[in-house]
Amino acid sequence: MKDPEENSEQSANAGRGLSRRGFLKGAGITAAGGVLMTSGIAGLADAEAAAPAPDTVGPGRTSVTLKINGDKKKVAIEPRQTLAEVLRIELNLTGTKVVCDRGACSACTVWLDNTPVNSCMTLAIEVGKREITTIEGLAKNGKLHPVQEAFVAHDASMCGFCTPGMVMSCASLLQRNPKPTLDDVKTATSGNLCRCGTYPKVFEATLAAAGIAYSQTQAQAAKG
Amino acid sequence: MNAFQWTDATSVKQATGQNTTPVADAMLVNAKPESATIFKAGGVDVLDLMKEHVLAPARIVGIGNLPKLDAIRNAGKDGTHLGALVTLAQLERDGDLHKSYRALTEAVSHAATPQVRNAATLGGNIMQRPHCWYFRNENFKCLKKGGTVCFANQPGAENKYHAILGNQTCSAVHGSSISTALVAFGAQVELTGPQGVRRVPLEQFFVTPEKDVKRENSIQPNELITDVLLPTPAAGTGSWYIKFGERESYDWALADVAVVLEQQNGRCTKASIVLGAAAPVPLRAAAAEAALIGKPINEETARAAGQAATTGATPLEHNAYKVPIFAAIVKRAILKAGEV
Amino acid sequence: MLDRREEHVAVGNRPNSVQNLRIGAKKDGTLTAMQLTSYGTAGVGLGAGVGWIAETMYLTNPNFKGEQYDVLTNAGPGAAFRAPGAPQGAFALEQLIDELAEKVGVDALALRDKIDKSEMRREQRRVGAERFGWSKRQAPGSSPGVVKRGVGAAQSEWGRFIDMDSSCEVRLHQDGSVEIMSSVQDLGTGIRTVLAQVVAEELGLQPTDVTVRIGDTNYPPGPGSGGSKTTGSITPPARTAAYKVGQQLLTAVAPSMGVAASELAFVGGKIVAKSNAGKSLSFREAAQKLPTQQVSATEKRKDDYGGFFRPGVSFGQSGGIQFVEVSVDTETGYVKVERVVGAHDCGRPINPLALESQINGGILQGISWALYENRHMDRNYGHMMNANLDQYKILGSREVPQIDIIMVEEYTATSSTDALGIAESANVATAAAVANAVYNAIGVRIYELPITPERVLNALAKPKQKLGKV
Ligand SMILES: Cc1cc2nc3c(=O)[nH]c(=O)nc-3n(C[C@H](O)[C@H](O)[C@H](O)COP(=O)(O)OP(=O)(O)OC[C@H]3O[C@@H](n4cnc5c(N)ncnc54)[C@H](O)[C@@H]3O)c2cc1C
Ligand code: SF4
Ligand code: FES
Ligand code: FES
Repeated sequence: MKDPEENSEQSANAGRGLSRRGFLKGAGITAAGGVLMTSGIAGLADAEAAAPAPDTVGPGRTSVTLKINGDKKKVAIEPRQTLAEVLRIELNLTGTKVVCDRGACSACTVWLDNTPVNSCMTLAIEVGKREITTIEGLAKNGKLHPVQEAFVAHDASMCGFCTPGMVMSCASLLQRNPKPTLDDVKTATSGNLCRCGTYPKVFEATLAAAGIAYSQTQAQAAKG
Repeated sequence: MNAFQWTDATSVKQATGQNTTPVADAMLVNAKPESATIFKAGGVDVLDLMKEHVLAPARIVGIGNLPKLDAIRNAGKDGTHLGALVTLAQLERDGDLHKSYRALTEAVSHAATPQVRNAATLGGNIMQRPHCWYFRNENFKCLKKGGTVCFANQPGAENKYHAILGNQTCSAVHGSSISTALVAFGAQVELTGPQGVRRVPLEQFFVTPEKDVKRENSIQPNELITDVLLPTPAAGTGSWYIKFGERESYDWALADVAVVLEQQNGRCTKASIVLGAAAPVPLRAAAAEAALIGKPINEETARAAGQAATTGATPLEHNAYKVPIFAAIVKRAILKAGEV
Repeated sequence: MLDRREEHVAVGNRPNSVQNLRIGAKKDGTLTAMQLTSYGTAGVGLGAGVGWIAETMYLTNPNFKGEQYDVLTNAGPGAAFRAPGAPQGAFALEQLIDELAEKVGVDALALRDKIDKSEMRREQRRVGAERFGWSKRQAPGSSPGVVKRGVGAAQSEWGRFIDMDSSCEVRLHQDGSVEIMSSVQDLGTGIRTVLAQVVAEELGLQPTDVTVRIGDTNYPPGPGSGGSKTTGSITPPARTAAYKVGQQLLTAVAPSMGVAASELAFVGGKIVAKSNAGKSLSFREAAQKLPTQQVSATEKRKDDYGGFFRPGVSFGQSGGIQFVEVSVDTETGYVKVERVVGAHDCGRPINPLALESQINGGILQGISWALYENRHMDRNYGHMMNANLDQYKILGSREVPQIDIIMVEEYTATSSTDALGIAESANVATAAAVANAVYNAIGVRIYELPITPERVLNALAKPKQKLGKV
């Protein structure tokens, strides 16, 4: 590694950051393109040939159409706006909560094509044709989703900041697995932080919505 | 987050022709962020860096819609191809992977949160930047950002989660706990740039701070990870992975380890033991591997290998406790991997 | 709205505290003196207040000397975080009481029976110990294997605070609808439901029949949310106002029912003659007979019957005892709370479900604080380095133990609802109980929070102090 030429080159480039030559030598790798081969990805060449030209938009607003809770909403957004921001600020769907804004608490959970994701870490511009379901979209015909009803009956909400995210996680779990175990519920909510400590009631409520009798004092016995 | 232009790439060829800069370069103190164009996949790490104001690109090329990169493909004896856009959730759910590469699916299912796993991609996970608190804080222009100081090795600094090995220049550990398992299986990354495709063992793709403190890997401008190839394990291979954190729900690893063992006639013939959160790169524990070869796998040999794993450790002010933790989890992972 | 990072950096944190506590006792455990010097980081503010529990928990102690100091730091103000000061104080006090018990050779609960005057706490110790299986407790450090089990207990206490500025208006409309209005707010404790319950019960209705309007300063002033005082402050005036509105209604319908108002009662959505159950009027029909479109009553909190803090009843404190079982992995230092039994009191419980939630919350935040939470300030530059939620660790779903709650009800007849708060007292004992349990598991005491793998391993690596025998 102690190649004098490399060292001098690095110091000559100090601060510019983008020059790569000294680094490449240091890392002991032949420059990109030195070893040419074909990709191991099947069918890539054909797919590539058919690709449409890319779009560049922004930094100002661009109009997009989002599919939200069964409706189509046209909204002008900046590329930097997260889905959470667009839902809350542009569309006034404030049921979705932002707590950490970093992907670390899952309060902002929404479904994209039925898959729970953090809306604070999703750019709205990237949602495309995927169907967005928010907490506002769970109730059908004025009737709460069974998980929501169970949350009410079991007092699974205190301050309520984590609750929309919890409900979205638990309702999604029941969609994938109508008869979950306690451990499945814990896994499904393992990214949902609740400051108030509703977890035991969230477990009770979710299992109740699945028709499974369970009380928080049984945690040990039910451990899977 | 700063305002930026958005390009939605539709093919690898277009994407690699957008004049992009590796995020590591776009984050340097002296870089010109207003001219940087970067790649974004799931966006978990990119948005995190941008929200912390340590990354401010002028344009982002979204690669989430590139075709064909989101599949897991078993290519028989050649191994298994994992497309760069495969999400962690896909890896976690894959039955074949679970059977043949147990340590990997263990690693994936213990990484991050279910919501993050649904969005985060394999390529992005390998490329994520370290989580050293100083590095991620806009107030600290450390060595890794092109500054002149490492704040984590000053007296009294917060370094309890930092490296215990290879930590003399920069002690930030690599954030990808999945790479711990990938390296143990001898994974290779396929990199596609404007000039073509190259394949590098993942272990060598990572770069130590001594080679270049400003980056964690040798990705080039305009280059994309397109594929990760896992070689087919030999018959009789067993593997296991253990992640140790302060919390089980989800937590960054304090220490993690992947073990891949081959055994014949009750003796270990090949061992691959990789430590995560021990060093700035996923680190092969050569001494631990050597301690097992030719021996039966049992409590005693596993314990000896566990002790050997951190040979030469140079703990910082607040992280010596990691040494016994590594000894314990290496031992336990060896015993589990040896059960096969 | 601030996100979590901004909250941590700009709004304030639970003060860190250093507690130096000394206890003097006779050979039989009788307390002779306690001396406390405590320090708390008040940040740029004042009033870290981290010390009073040692003074108030064991009133058999004849001599107490306490000094509390605020340590000013350039690091954001100290802020209220569930029972300000008390968990810090209990962490020191309740470990020291356990140490004293070990030293004088008696069971930790038996010693408390001797030195604690509170009858309530005595009963809580008894029922809690039974439910928990305290008698199966093993000697410290005697649990076999790599992963050791241990149990421990600690007591909590919190003042019975009342806010006299607590008022509300109850309105009854001619269409039979009932409203209660107060500027009290619901932080998630359930006061909205509780108010509906209190008014409904008084008027023989269902809680769903009552519209609760709160959280708006246009309404009569309500108590601030702090000090666990909401329920104890606002439910008595709610009940009184409902009663007064009810009396107006009874007076209005009495002539047409041909019975004196004093002979009428609210039962199951009806107004019924006490002497003749056949004689009744539905609530809605009755309301139509009001002389005006609405009647209302505004009431405020009155002094407790007989004055505050009646000695001999409760010593002015609510509280409880929590029993904790932990496992400690002695190779990795990982501590897991497996099981908690909490025996608590808060006067007369009004909503058992919400009460259970509050206690769950107190316990889970207590475990979180005991094992995970820590504000890391860089010593050289003064920045909080772990302000985000992936860095500042709080308990998640996988860290939730089995929780068993026992409410010991207490009727002191001090107000028209006899209700008191619970949220803070449910948080005070937990960390101390976890620490006592960790000690029981590994035979080494840990005097610093959070009890991380790092601290456990460091404690285990130290040459063993002389271990006490139970
Ligand atoms: C709460 C939380 C907990 C976490 N815990 C863990 C954990 O336990 N273990 C773990 O491993 N990770 C963990 N992570 C990190 C997370 O897994 C990564 O941030 C994520 O995998 C990044 O993937 P992405 O697709 O979102 O990448 P992006 O954010 O889109 O990109 C990340 C980087 O990779 C580059 N990039 C992306 N794709 C490619 C490509 N194909 N070729 C070249 N460059 C590319 C981007 O330019 C960028 O520099 C956690 C994250 C959070 C928020
Ligand atoms: S450890 Fe590395 S990333 Fe952290 S402050 Fe030091 S140089 Fe920067
Ligand atoms: S607000 Fe999105 S994960 Fe916390
Ligand atoms: S109910 Fe308050 S954070 Fe969960």
